[in-house]
Amino acid sequence: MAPIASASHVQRRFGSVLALSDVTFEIEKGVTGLLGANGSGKTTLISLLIGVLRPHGGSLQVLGMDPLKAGYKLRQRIGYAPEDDRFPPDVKANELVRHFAEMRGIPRRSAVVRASEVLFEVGLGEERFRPIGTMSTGQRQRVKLAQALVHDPELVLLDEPTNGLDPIQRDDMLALIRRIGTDLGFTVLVSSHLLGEVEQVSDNIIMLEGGRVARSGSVATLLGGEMPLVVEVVEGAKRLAEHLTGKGFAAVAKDDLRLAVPGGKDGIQDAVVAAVVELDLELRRLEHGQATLGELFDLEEASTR
Amino acid sequence: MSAQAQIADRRFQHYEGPRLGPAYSFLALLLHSIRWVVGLGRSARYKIVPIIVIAIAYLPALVLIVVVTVAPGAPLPDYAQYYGFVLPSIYIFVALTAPELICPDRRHGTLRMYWTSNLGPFTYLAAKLAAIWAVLSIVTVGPVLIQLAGYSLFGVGPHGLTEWLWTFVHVVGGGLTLAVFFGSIALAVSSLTDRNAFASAGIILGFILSGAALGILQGPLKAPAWVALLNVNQLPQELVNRIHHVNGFTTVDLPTWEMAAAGAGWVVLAIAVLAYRYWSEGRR
Repeated sequence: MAPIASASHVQRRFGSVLALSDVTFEIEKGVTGLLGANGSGKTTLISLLIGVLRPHGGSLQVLGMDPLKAGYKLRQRIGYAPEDDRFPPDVKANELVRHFAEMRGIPRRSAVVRASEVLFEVGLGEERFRPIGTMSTGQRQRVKLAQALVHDPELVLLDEPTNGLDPIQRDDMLALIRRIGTDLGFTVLVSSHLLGEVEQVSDNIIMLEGGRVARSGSVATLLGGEMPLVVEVVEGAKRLAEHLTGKGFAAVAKDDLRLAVPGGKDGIQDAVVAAVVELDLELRRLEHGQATLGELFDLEEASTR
Repeated sequence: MSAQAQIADRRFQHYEGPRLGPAYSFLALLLHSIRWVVGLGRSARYKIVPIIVIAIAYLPALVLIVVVTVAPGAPLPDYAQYYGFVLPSIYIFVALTAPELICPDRRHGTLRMYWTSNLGPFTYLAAKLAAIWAVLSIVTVGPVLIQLAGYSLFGVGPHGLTEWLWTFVHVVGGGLTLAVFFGSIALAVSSLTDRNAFASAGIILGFILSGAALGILQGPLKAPAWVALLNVNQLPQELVNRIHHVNGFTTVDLPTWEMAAAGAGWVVLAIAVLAYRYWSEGRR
């Protein structure tokens, strides 16, 4: 089966800065996570897929078309939610979603009905007549998601949809994105800088690092079933990492507040808690799945030493 | 349960209806933009200022009709001279509406959502230009049409159908000239910032200060006549005078074709600024 979207040796510069270098990947049906640290080229890549940016090398295909040449016939089959969520504050949610349905070619009468339907679907059924300025960040992110879905696109591109959300809102949003991909059957590309988020919602992952595809493939293959454990302490993370490494757990600490430990080993949580007590540290957080890409790479490097 | 009762299914359905093209989305954005800037469908505070400014623009027309009825034979201003009464309210109206048409989309980051729709940067701009021209026509064409209707109704208007129709064409043409001229320049100024207040101040200062500065050059400093072509305050008024074939309160010793070319040049320059600004933010 032909991929929904693909890139072959794509390059993109901004002046002398090479934002993307020799990027090659394929996006299949289902939910694909685009994972990378800030500045790794995620938004640039999405901009290339929607045809807003022109590649300086290589080629892109989206739904069998070249994004730069296909024009509106491709654009009305794509749903896009930008990273920014500062919508006009006095516009009501249903009006904004209806307006963007019309901008993607849905006749007005259908646009009104679909705006309501999709706002119900993202959990804003009762809030759909509220001005966006009175909504919480989580609700605004849902409005942004609704406008990307309202015209029933074949590919949905979500740029950092959990930005600014608290942990509960973030989990709700991730569950919603997962449901959109599974229950509603949309093909979704969702970008994030957090490995845990991408792992939670995606079937496949494309990892970007420094403008290159560091690796891509299914979640199970890439992570090998092990999600790193992230530990946050008030201070002393480096001492804790050294202590755990001494006990046979390859821990890495970027600074003195946070460290990551491979999550697959038996008894790892007990070992971390025991080490915290032994070193008389103050534990702030102990969580699976919130490791950054950098931490994942550092852990891999540490485990091969 | 009644026989007509139905269970409403509000779940998301995949869409199988028609998908219309850019012409439909252009028209939808044009109508949305017009409604947006005059406050239709928005809270009362967005309606108050447009209503006041529109009322001020129409007030002289109503006063003139009253004058015609209570003081027959009193000297009356012609159609071109009407703008002498309402130019300040036209400036205020354009300074309020042009920034509101494009600055919020730039400020709120919604432009990229338009770029992934049926519209691209240039169709988006075309809809916004058509919207500002249409909205400004409310204050540049509408009041003078009321003046023409009032004069005609009370026997001081054009004589005969042919003359009336020509006057009507001149009134609409003069009003549209102002709308296109002021609207294009104001939209270009607005594209330089994403803050409404800065854009409004830039538009007002641009029109008034350029008029004042070039007025000094043309008057006391005896600058050559072509300097009038740079005066964005004087040039459109003089064009309206020429359309109505009257010697107005501004006198410019230049042929009409030069003035028309200069007016068109200003509009082309404004559209070029807009195109550059949106091209640089659109597909690169």
